[in-house]
Amino acid sequence: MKNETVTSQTISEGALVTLVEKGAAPSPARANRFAGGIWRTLRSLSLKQKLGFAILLVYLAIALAAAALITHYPWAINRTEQGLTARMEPPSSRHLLGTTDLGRDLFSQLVIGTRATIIVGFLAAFCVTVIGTNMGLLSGYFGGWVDEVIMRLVDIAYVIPFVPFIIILISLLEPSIWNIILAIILLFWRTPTRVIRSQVLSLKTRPFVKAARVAGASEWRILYTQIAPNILPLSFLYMTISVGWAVITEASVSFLGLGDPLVISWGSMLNSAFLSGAARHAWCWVVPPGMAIVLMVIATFLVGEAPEEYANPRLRER
Amino acid sequence: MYWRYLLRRILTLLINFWIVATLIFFMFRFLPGDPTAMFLDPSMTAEVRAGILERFGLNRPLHEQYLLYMQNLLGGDFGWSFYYNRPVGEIIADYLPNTVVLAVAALTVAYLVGVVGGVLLAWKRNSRLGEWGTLIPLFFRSAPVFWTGMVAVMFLSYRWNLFPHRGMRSPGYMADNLLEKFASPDFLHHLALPALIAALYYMGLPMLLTRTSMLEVFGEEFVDLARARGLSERRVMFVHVLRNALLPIVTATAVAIGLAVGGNIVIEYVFSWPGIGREIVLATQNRDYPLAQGMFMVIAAAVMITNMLADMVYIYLDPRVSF
Amino acid sequence: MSNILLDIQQLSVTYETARGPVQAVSELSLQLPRGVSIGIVGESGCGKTTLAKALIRLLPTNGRISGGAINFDGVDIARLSPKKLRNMRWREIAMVPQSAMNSLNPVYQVGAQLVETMVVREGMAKNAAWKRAGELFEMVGINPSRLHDYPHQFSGGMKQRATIALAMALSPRLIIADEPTTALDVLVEARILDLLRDLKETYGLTIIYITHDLSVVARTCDLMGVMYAGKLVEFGPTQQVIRQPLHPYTMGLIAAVPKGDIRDWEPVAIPGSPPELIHPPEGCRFMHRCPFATATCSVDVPALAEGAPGHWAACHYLHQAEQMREDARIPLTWSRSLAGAVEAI
Repeated sequence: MKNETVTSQTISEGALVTLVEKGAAPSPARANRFAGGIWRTLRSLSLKQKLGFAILLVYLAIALAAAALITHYPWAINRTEQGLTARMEPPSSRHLLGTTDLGRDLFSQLVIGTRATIIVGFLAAFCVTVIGTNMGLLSGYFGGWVDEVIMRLVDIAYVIPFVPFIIILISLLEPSIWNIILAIILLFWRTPTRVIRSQVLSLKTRPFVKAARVAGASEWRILYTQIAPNILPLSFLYMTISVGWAVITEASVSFLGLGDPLVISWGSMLNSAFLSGAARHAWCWVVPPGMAIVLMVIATFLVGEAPEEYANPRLRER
Repeated sequence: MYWRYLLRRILTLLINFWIVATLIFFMFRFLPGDPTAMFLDPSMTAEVRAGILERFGLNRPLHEQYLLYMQNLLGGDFGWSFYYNRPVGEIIADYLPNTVVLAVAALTVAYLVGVVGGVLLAWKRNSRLGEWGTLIPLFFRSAPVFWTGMVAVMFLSYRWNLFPHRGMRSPGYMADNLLEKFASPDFLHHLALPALIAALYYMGLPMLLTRTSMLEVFGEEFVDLARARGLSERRVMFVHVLRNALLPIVTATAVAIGLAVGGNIVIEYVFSWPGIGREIVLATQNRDYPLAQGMFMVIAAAVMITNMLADMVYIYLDPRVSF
Repeated sequence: MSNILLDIQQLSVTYETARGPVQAVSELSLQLPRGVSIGIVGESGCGKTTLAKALIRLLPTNGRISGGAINFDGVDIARLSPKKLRNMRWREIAMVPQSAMNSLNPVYQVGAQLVETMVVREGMAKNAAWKRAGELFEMVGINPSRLHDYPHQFSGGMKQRATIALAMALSPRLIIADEPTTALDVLVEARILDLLRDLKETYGLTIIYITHDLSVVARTCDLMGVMYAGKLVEFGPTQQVIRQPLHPYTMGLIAAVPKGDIRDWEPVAIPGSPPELIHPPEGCRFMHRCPFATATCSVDVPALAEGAPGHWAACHYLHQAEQMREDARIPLTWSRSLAGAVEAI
């Protein structure tokens, strides 16, 4: 659908006007551009990426259906027929993965742990991506002192060692799932910012941007209606990788005992295993939560297609 | 020219260090959770309390505290540990070498195996090894390193008794000199498992990155010409392709260092390895803030310095870069 | 010792692509005497670069020699074992690659790459190798002081000279120059061509020039071959092929190059494009674009025939060459072909 009209002005102006009417003409597709962009991205994924997505959806489904899947209440202390606490029981038909040293059902804990992981993983990744993308957009597009300030902040975020920072932050605030998410957000936003900024830098010199400017669009409008949709696929892919990082971070923090005491997560399960000494021999306690983490993170890496490419110097400023 | 760049980098490093120190200072002061309450017993008398506050300088106005803090930091005085009742600097000096040994051992193995493994994965990419081999580093990068540690300890230490499951040396071991401290069979036996687990975790990045990087270089014309010159495939891979493929790996070292710091902390914790990683966790558990703060600064400084070194190495490796 | 250095017999090269096998070179036969330079011209995709790669057996992984033989001084290169092949590379046949821009490893000194070749392949001592590298540089006109520089410090012309020096390092007998001057400006190009010609005279080299630029061939080559859609359609002494081409395609190529008084010259363009090699057409491959094609051309594949002494072409109508030449000079003739008719629509 071309809205080309050639005016009677000078050649150069005429060319620009033509460009503008081609590029900035409001087309019906515009309204759904964001949604359309995401759908298009999904359809163009490779087999590996689709597999990763499928796995993530399975996890999501388990998390949503957790209440229906568990066999026992995860916190309940189960008892044997004799009335004793069912400590450290091996896997049986009653307790699919056995029990903890306090008699809690491991299978139910594993299933319920999906919830915490999904919440932390997706929420933290979402916030990190939103913040990082916006910072990258602003920094790359407006340049000048905005860019200086933001890149300075990014530099600082990069020099702060991540795990020590989280450890200290959580111990100063109370250990809760929201503080873990906060800590992740406070530092993780640095990576997408740099990457998005690079993209924006190369995009902002393109003709369609100049054309929109000539048409009278304000800078903000250009940024969010012209440039943003072009970097959305990158953002989206980034978000998926961030999920993986967030999950590992939450697991590590919980493992160190700084996790939310009211929340069962795979990391906290491993923490209990470690502290109770059961880690010496109880493979059914130690292996399943770990494998659950591994599988989820691999899924995110499959979608993001090799995360180390984001450390690629072509995207990183020298 | 090189020296001017070096100076500029050092200056940036010092500024960043100052910013981080300030950040952590205010973090401790402004976040909820009164730090003083942690070591002030309600049962203490007012005098004792005042005395302790005085000693730690906690009763002075904020800006004075800050200046004092900065001054001390520059002079190498990291404060006084609440828990151990010793200067933080001493504690750090005690534990730092252990961490360094573990980190260096793990990273060396990780990078050697990682780079060579990556070259092989790229070279033999059409064989079964090449196609399935990438799953190995992918797996180890996705698995939380404390978990692999736990599994390793469960099987290799407890079940099959191949390695000790904790600590740096057997209890009661007395070492006479530095060599015996760090090179004795007992020490190495204790070092083996944590270093191995850490290496498995760290090697994922260099291995996958080397492979990707090598594959990118394969398309370059000088590779074809090197083969046309009749050089052996091995030489082409390791001398011509790898040298070019290394550059992105060096820049990715920043990410690697970040991983290594986090990984080290968790590994030391799992294996009860007496290093600053483990200590910082214990310090926060014990609410020993001066110790936590001091260790944080040391870790931050180490990260910054290693990043700067990585940049230096990159410039040395790539003759096209000018500054 | 026969006079023929390179005897290519019915060479076929096939690429396995996602859409099926593509025969990039079809039953190509060519005989190259010693000490002679030959230019192989053709448009993009005609198979000339594939031919070059096949000669040094450096085809990409999806390519293979599917038929024929390449006899280099009696030895069939196409059948050599990898070990013997590697032994022969660069010592007997060397290459001056297309785009010297990327042919040198950017992270090593240029001199070091020459030295490496000599040390690794001939077992030369390092000092001797550096000395010889200096001599090679002088031979191609680069100051030996530049030996320790990196490729990015060289200009385009210098890089090309450096690759020529590299090619000469092991004193080969045959040099394949793949588009040696494409990326260079006209003045530099002239100097490089002169250099190659001087080297050929001095050292008795045999050189194959692969190029799409007729003027390069006209200036430097003793013999000339024209490739189209994977086949050799004409071959003979350069001056003869240019002055009295026998194959319509060659006629079109030559008519397209301005000559004489520009005011009198009318530009000719051959309409259409080369056929898809996945399903090569039956009969003559040029038929579709040839203004002189007849029904025979669509059925019978023309074989190379000697239309004049030492001058071969693959066309059914060699005896009418003179008339065709006349017609070919007129642009309107070319719209008579099938492709021309299609374009006129």
